[in-house]
Amino acid sequence: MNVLVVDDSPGIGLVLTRYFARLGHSCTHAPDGMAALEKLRTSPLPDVIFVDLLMPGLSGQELVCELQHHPDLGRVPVVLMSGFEAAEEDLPPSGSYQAILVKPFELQELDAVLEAATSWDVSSRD
Amino acid sequence: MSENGSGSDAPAISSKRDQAGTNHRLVAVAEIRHRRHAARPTKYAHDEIRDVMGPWLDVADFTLDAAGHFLTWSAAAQRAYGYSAGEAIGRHLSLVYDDEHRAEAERLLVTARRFGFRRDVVQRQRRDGTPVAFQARLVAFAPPDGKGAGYAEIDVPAGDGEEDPRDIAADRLIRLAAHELRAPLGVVLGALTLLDLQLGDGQGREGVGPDAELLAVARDELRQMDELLSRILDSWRTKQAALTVQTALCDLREILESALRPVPPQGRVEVEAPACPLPLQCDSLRIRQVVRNLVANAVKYSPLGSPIVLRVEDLGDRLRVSVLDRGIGIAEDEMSRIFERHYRGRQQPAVDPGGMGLGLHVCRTIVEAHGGLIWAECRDGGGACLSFELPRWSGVLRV
Repeated sequence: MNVLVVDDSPGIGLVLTRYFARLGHSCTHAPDGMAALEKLRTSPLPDVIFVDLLMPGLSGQELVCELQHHPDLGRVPVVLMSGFEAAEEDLPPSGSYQAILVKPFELQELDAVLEAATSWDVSSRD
Repeated sequence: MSENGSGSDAPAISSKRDQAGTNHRLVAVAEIRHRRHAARPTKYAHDEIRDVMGPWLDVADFTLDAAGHFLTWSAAAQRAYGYSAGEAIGRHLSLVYDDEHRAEAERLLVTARRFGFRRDVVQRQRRDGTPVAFQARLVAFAPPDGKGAGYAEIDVPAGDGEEDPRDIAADRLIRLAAHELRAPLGVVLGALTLLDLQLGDGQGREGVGPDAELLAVARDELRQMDELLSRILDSWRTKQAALTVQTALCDLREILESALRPVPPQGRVEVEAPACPLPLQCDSLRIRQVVRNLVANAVKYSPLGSPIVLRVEDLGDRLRVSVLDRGIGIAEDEMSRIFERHYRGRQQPAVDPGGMGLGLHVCRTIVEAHGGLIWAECRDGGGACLSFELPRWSGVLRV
């Protein structure tokens, strides 16, 4: 499985990349929304994208909205990562993401998320 | 679904804990904590911290002797009121009131003396005659030998008069600190988990041996920190949850009956109330909550089966409700502090009663929203008496 992690925390990027690699997945880390778009334009489509909500520059909300404008990118499952106090206005529109992972989380929780991601049908996304 | 019913329909991750204490999160129904009106959190907190600390940095404070004359006068007090220390010290508190409000000074002192503590929005006057409003917190000292009796007061700007800016600042600081601490905690926990896995047998199991033991200890400690931060954030959320007060004409006796219906099993609550109806303008659900909290508190801090008395007194324009127990009591210097958020008295039963220290704070919030007062006293022969008084015809204030 190809995973893209978008988070401005280098620590989160490193830990998640290493963990997904241990599970046998290929993982790329983008430090912000613009870098993520660049990777998505130039690399094969990931199977799932983990997006931090609060990032400088292009926020997670803006990135997910941007993905919706591309037919291919819009079909990639999105998991939002957020501190517990994410405000309503920080979230992208309902239906543009499949799950929210509340920080901090245990790495093993990602196993269930990845497993679920394979079954998510996002073809009907608006 | 979100807590406030306005959340997304997306699945989110909820957590549960199994018998081994392991924290699992399941991909399930969405439950992210939306804070529609919360300030947008930021990862770049330095400016916000400076902003948050503002209300703490310029607090006018002074002390008064037993008769209400200034003993000390801080530089911040001088900035706030315009009087120098030389001009203020020795003068009566009424110095900072205009003619119309001068009697308020004595009333404030009397109330503080009676209850040990008084928090109020006060309308005062600067040296140049301009009006100024403060949130005043006045503490009365009354040593048994009478020496050193007097008052200490701190004033912060009253803002819009709705909430103490220091409380707002404290809330923001708690939220900020907890959030900013939790994020790196998650990274460190993840890194340790990875190291632990690398020490394992290559099959994805966690490691064994002395090094793995050290990692396990570190991870356990981090989880405890995370749990603590989580509880702090929970309590912040509790505070943020909007309480509304809707008053109507009620009978206090009916409220008490309703409050006692699910009597705590180990409690023996005896009601002493006038036989006649006790009309009261109040939010019956909220006052029922106050009574339940006070009774639950008495049960919590009393020996099993120890008698608890719920007493109602008709004081004419006010009604007083007291909950008396024969429990472990309250230290003299904690009488007012027990109503503070998260405060738990030094005297605790042998068995930890648990709780977040919110119950009595909620009581005070509700009672004050009705324009009432709540306080604690020691009982002769041991135990505590927690009382609140409500004006019979209060208007809606706020919570």
